Amino acid sequence: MVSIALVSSVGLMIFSVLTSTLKLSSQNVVTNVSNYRARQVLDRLGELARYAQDTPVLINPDGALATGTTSDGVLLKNSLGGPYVFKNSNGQTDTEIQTGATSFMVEFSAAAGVAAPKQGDCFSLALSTGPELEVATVTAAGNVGSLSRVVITTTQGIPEGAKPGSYTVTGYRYRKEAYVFVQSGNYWSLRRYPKVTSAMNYTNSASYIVMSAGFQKLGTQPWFTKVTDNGTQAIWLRAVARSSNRSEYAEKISGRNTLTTMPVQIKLWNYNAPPPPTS
Amino acid sequence: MKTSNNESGSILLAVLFMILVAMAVVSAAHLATSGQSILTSRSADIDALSTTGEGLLDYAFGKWKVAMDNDGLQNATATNALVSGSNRPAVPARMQVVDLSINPVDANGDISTEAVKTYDYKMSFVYTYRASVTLRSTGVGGERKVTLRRSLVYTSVPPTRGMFFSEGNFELYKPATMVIGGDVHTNADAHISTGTSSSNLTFLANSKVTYVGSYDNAAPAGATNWSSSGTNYPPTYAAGLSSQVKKVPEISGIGLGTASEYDTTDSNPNNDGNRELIEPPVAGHEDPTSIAASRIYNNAGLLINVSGPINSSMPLTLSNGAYTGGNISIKAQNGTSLSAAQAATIRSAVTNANVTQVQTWVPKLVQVSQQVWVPNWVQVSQQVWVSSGYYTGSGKKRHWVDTSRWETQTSMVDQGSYQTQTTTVDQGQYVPTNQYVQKTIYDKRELQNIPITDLNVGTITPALNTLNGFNGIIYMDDSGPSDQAAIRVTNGGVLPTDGLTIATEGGLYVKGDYNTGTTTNPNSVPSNNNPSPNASTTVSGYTTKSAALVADAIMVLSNNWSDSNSSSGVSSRAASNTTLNTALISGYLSSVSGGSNGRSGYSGGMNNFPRFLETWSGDSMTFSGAFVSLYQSKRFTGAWDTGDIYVPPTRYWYFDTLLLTRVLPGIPATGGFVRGQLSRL
Repeated sequence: MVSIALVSSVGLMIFSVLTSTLKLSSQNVVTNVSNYRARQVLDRLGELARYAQDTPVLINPDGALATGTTSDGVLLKNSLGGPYVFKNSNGQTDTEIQTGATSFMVEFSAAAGVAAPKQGDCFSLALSTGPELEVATVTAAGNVGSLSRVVITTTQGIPEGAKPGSYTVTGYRYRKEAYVFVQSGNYWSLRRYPKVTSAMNYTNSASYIVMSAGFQKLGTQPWFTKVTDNGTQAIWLRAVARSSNRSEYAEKISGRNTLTTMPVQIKLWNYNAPPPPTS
Repeated sequence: MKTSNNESGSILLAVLFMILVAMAVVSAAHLATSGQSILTSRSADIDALSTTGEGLLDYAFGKWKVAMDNDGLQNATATNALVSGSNRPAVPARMQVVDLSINPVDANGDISTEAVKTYDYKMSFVYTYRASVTLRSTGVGGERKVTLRRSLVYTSVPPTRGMFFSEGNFELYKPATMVIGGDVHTNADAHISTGTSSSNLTFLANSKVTYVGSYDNAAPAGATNWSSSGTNYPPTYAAGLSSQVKKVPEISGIGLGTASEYDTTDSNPNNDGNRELIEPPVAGHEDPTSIAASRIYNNAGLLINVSGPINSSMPLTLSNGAYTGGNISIKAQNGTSLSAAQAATIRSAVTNANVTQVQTWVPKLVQVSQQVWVPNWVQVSQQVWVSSGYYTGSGKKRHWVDTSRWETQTSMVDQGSYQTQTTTVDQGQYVPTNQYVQKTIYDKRELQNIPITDLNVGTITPALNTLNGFNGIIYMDDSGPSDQAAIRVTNGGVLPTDGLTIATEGGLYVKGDYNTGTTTNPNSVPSNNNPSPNASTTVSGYTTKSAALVADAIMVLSNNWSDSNSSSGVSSRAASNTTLNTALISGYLSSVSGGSNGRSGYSGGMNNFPRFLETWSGDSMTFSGAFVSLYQSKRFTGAWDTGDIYVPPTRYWYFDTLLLTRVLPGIPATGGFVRGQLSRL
């Protein structure tokens, strides 16, 4: 009996130590994973901004342009590559693209790694007014030589005429994405709007996914701030990323809703105005 | 104490169960940890690869830029050699460079073996290359690979990006009060001073002065011959001399790779310097590729050649792609399509003849038939009795001796006859006819009559707006006998929608307002009606078009200019307020110590880069644009001075900030390299 009791006690102690260690280890892993995922979301945002077509734009939670130098959200133009060569809707170069046109033949080279446009994508055209056209419809049109071609319609007309017979009308494709911090109780969640179109409703839950939750503001700092940094304009993202409120980690394993916090400051963009070519 | 076998087995099972549970928990923790470890490692490795890749692409950009700058266009073999072998930089030990390449690409992004020229919307040419890098590393959980691409673009960044660009010395010596609000660059020396006080010449804080040679406040050569009175003061720099004035490397050439082709020592007349920009190529000699690509003659959508006084009553016939007739030839090229009717409209905008009526005998030859005696003289011999005799003796012996006899005589006899003959009779008459003589104006600076051809922009603009494929560039020349023939741009208040560049190898006069929005009422332009700093240089609602005038020399004539007064004294040539919104690209004359013809030798400075010929006292010349001085004037070489030539205007001169983003039709760059779009595949 004594030996049984002894073995049981020792076994219990070992089991207790083992389970405690494992639980602490699991919680540590959860902390790291949760914290890392939260940080990853912000890093991803920073990377997108760095590879974006243009500078980020400060927006309010309803998608309207922010009027000041701070905001809860940003709109990015996620570059999808190019070039795309624009012609009249008939694909001919002997007729000009008229002001107000909404239908175009777009040629691109799959061999150069350029993909077909999709509904909701946008094009930035190299013309004097720098028009931005949102794709409304895409119709497959086949190939011409080694190039692929599609006919697209756009939600708005081109604001100036173009002459594809005289010069190359080139466009680059991008997709508008928005990232907005929205308050929920004591914490904030970060929503990602993967395809922002002119018809999209920012409040419709089908328009976004929640990238992460449990963020807090860094002191009294706004989420996004446009500043003049060393003579150039910059946009900062400042946040406290909390490794919590991620149900797949925190609640099921530890049941705790607060583990660690991590202050984050990311410079999303830094540019001269206007962006200078080097010469 | 006894224990049963069953009890011993239970303990063993309990211990084994606990061990099993413990192992399961440990395994689960291990799996979770190792999975996270892989994720973390992969993410960190890809970040490192991306950062390194971006660095390699920046390295590739630097190598490409230097090669293009020094040697002109590069083909794929040359660009890839820049980043291969020993030219490829080292990367961290854990990484391998799978691929690092630079290739020319065409308009669709497809790789080409040679550089591909495309045109942007303003018809400046663009060459695009693509740098690509693929990096690989191995880490926890396997291999990571990152591929990045960046477009490298040579674009036209024209010399009109600043207020003044000067290939020769930049000189300002005692100018009238001036405020300069734009960048100044000279590829030579800068001599900048003012005569009354430093406040008379101010460079605003946004004006950078860059020079290649030297900088001082001394009088340029010959300037003291013109005026040696008073003191030379340095100008005022709003942000301080040290921050606004800098010595920089030369910005050479006009168009990519042209500088390395220039050679004035060989026999080729097609590679002699920046002036090739305005010259047509000389046949029979090589036209270097980079220079040919920059020639406005080659790039123009319309070529207009005048070879004498234009007779617009003559028909235009299409020959070798040009509509020709009445001493004018109009040719469309570079994608411009031109109909006979459009050619006729364009011809109607080009005039250069004074027409006078003279009485001219216009013959009318008529055939008349008449009977004409046609003689036929024949020699005839005949016996003729010749009576003769004489008296002899005297008295009764006196008697008559008859010596008469027959003699043979020869005579001419007309045996002709009347014949019918037809003759031509001039029954013409005097009729009045037009006589075409090329008109001239007297240029007081050149001291001679200048044959001149007017281009009425107001007439030609509607035609250009409908000209399919027109790129906004007109090259116009007068190939008549005079080396000092000139083009005069008139009625230029409203330009074609897509802008207009007018270039000529000779002189160019611009008469009256240009690109202001009105062709009828100069006083509706605020800067004319009430000249003052910041007065609008256009009429309300008009947006200036991209505009450039390019020539050997550019003379600005006011709205009030009259040809009939051109040879009169300076006081008879009264100017009026005039506004120009355009870039002026033209030649210069260097200052020399000793002048001639009673002139000082001083170049007149950049304040006289546009040449004046009127009395502007109390009148303003308002200018918004850029001044670009690229080459020595070869045809209009009359030395600057004041005297009977001109009295200076009040200058309201501004740099047109639209030129920061506009590319003027046909004006190539002095070099412009852009790091284009960066993308991760």
